Amino acid sequence: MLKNTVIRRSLAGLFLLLCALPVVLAMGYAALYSVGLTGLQSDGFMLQHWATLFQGEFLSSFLYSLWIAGASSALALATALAALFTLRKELTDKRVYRMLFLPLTVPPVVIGFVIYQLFSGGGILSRVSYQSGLIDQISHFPEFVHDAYGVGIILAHLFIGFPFFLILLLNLYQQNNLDELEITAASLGAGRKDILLRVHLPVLLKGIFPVVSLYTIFFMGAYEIPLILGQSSPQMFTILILEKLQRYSLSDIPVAYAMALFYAIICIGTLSWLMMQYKKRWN
Amino acid sequence: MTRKISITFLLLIFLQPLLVLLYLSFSTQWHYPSLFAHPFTTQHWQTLLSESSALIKSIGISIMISTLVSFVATGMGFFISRGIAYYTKSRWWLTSAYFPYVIAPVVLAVMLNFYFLKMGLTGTFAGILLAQLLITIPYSVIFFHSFWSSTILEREYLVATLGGNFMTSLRHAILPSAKGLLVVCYFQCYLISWFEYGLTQYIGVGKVETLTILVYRYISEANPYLAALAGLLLLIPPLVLLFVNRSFFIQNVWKS
Repeated sequence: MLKNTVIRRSLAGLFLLLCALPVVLAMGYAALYSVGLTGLQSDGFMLQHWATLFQGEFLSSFLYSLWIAGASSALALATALAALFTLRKELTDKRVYRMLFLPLTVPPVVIGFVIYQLFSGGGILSRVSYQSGLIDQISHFPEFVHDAYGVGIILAHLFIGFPFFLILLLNLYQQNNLDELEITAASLGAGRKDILLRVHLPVLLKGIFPVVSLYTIFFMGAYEIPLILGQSSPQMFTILILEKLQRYSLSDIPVAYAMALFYAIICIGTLSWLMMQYKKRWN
Repeated sequence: MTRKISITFLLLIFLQPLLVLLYLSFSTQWHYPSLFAHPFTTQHWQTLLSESSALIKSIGISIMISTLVSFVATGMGFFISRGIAYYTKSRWWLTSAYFPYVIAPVVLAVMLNFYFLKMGLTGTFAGILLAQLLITIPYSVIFFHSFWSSTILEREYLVATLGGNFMTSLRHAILPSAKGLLVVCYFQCYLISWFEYGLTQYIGVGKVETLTILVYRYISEANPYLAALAGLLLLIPPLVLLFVNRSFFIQNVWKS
């Protein structure tokens, strides 16, 4: 009994030490720094950095990150759904299914580099366009990288998100016996459109929603890809945080910590909300 | 026919990174608007063979970090998850394991850097190991949590009833069932560590040059040829793992 209690306590302690404590310490330090209670320019408690957080640079950077993350997830989900409904039979072929895992072997830093080599002004597509006479100057090639809409970043995220979502959708399709549901719905008089909108999509979207939400958070916190493909202003906010911390202006450091803490709260808040929503499934 | 074309098109898109990296790693003086009319060379690949090659050093560092991180994370995650599964009732224990994993690693590194500085770990090999373990251990805990089912517990009870201690139970009841999962978790942790850039760069301040750091260094030095070569080297372990078993790539934690 005593031995069990010792084991239980030491395992719980180890968990707290390695999983929970670092997050608490990290957020605690960021919170203290952001309200002026610690750090090089600590000058007593103040909320000045938080008050100015939702203006100007950070706000535009946050909205830009939201746009990139939302567009990447939506596009990846839409293309995965389109591929599922048009190519499902082919995708169940073992060799084709295995092929879907190929993009998952490519690290983000490499994807960023490849997208740059393909879509930048001096990249492969621009050279092909020039050689085929579509453009006659490098400047005529449309901006896909370092551009205002983050097209390059979204394309890179699409490359990661699309196959992953497709694999999950294929599994969900099989697990939920959607083929049989389709036959039942058809025998009850449902048309193709009804089956798609009232049977397939609700089941698939409900199943994939938590993963898409988490991927949206991941895309918001992406670092390597926007570092290679992003514009200089507004930036994804992970880049902005790092830039503010590494600048020589000491007054930027508390703002950077406020931004980092705000992002961490969003991540934890979203995750906790998802966990509560899916409590039944969890249990 | 249209479907076959679509599948071929998909395959081409998926193979693009590999093709672009291969092409660039054999290219030199690739000035605009040339596509093929530039010299091709093996000189970048030859740098791999030279003793002082930064690439060789960085492959060694990356392999060492990923091997150690995945070994420790898998082992610790396995036993900690047992504690969480059997001895805790609130699901918030497990939920809190997701926290370090969902926050972008580079943001976590920013907020934790103060402690790494205080412990003298910034810019060191040990610092990077510890930083990567802070992400991989929670991952491993989440991964193994569902393994500890009532069936495993009953087997443990059975071994205990027959007079066996925890080690006997581990050897004869737990490990035979967990073998496959341990291997998958080990390689998934290996890949998390192998792909890691932001956290490694921030905690390592560029002093510990892993392969991902080197790829970015070559990109920022405007040396696409060596960046492509380093990128290709980064792809080798994941491609080998994919060839061996695709389950190394499905992140089971998000499926639960």
